[in-house]
Amino acid sequence: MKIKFKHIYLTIIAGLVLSMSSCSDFMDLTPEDQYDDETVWSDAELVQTIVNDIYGYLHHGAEEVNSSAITDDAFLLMCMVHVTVMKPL
Amino acid sequence: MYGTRDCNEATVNGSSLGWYDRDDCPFKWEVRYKGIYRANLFFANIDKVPEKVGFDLDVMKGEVYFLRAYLYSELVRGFGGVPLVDKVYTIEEASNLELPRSNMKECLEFILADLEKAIQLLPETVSSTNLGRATKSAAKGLKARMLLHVASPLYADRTVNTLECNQYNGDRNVLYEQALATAKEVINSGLHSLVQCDGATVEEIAEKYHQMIITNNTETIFAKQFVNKSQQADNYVRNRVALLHGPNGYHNWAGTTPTQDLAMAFEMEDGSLNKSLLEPGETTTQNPYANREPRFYATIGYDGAEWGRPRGSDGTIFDPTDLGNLQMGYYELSSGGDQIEVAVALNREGQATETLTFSGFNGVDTRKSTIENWNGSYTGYLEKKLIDGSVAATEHNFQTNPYPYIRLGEMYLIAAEACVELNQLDEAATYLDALRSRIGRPDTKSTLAVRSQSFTQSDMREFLRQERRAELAYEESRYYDIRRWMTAPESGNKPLLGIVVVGRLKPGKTATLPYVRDENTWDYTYTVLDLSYIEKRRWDDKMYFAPIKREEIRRNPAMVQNPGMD
Repeated sequence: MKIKFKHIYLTIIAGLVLSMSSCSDFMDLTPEDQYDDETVWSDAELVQTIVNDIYGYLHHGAEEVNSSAITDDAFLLMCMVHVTVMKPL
Repeated sequence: MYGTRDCNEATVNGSSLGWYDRDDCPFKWEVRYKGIYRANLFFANIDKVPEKVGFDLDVMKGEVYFLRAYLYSELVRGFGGVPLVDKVYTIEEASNLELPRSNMKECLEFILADLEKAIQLLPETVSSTNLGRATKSAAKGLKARMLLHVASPLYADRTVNTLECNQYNGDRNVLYEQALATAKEVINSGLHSLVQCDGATVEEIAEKYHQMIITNNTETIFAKQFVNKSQQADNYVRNRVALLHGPNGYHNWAGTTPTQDLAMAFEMEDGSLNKSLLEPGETTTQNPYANREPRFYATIGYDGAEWGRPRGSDGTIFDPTDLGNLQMGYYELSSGGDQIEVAVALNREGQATETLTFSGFNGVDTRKSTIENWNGSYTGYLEKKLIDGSVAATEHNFQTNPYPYIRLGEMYLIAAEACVELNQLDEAATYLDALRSRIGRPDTKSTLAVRSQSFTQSDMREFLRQERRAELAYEESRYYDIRRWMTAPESGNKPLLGIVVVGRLKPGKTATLPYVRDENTWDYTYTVLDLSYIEKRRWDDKMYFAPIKREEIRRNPAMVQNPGMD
């Protein structure tokens, strides 16, 4: 396993409001939709959003393919037309 | 493109992963390890986070221990032993890292250690605004699930399970005892209870059982919660199950469709099994859906079944009923019909070898539906269990029903299975009886008698497996169950079968549209279709353990591929 990263930026998670930095200072390159390490790990509220995010890595069975389609319980319909016609972009 | 056929035809390997490379594979390697990385990052930093009013750092730790254990449990159930990563590596460390796959014992111990910490730290219950968060019971439920899993025959086998890291060398009976004790803790905790599905008719019982599946209730232990926002809401928070798997006659996509094998597997009202209609060409005029147990009606959408809401404006001319009756067949009309052709036998290439021609119409939920003829079910069935049929599901409107990751019913099945394997049959029967009586089923011993079976360990094992298939259908259990029980060769070698339903007018009867199923007007015939032309299902023992992506093997010299997956 190789985990490569330079800086960890955590994408903003719904429900959080950022205090906005000045818009006029175009040389200020601090991203406004991300947090840096230090900020995140100094605020329990932000840490809670990290925890919430990990829940999203769990798979649920109400998705497109349920693993039962690889068993004698089910068959997954998969004609091309089904996908190209019915799935909007 | 979904890769499910590649799996069912056993053509996958490390460079052609099929469904195993899709994000909706529960144990997709990169996704699970990304989640594990996030968890490890949390543990590397959590001790420096200052306390803040309204936020409980200990509970957060409990949640992350639970989540990391859950992610590893998915990997282990899919691949066997996997590398255990419990820290965040620097780039320098990571570039030289040669982490081997740990064996089943080490993986189980790692998962159990995380769950023990989670049990210590998590609360017993969460408030209604925090549904979906982990609790003590969730951690115990996962613990019981994994103990039973690793205790199972596959991990003790040395005939098909030939890779050391996929084997368990410890005492399996100890695991069964621990699984039983843990499941009992949850059952007896006083925090959960089985939903009693009382009713005067089997339909009423089935409706209550179905509601139990698609709601938060006393049986819920850990469930995914959803919101109904907009098309932009991502797949983590929207429940598209009705759109993906509902009937084409409602403009849904009929994705996951039950097989004839599952439909016929549900026991009859009297507890007997009816193993008919499982051979291509087999035909009957007896309604095969009558007198089944409640879970059949709660799980399967079949010809004539109520769906849950009226048809749209393009459907009411065919089906005028208030709650919609599924039209999975082809029906004769005395006037107003078209000349239709129905294939009632197919060869292995999918060509009709026998057709019926008469004046009538194609049911709106078939593949010849005038509403949508490209989304219909091939098997003649639809999945109903996870779907709220009353919701008009579109790309912009989703049902918000929770999905049950872990529910109390599974704890009864775990306790019962552990008891069967420990040969404590009377105790096993008490758990099975509880699960069966809540839906009005006869008890274990009398049901065994109806099936001409006896109260022995081997008959009870078969009984338990039948019960588990019926109770947990479409709850992401069967895939793992047929593997850990090593019954997968039998299941995987079954040809894919469907049903074709034809309604012909009785002599002297007349009928026009709209159509409502009526055995006084039509004679119905049910014929089994061989669908092998779509999927030539066959089992290969390499399918016990999922293939690891070839890049992963190349990147890490210590990594070994699962047998037969090179």
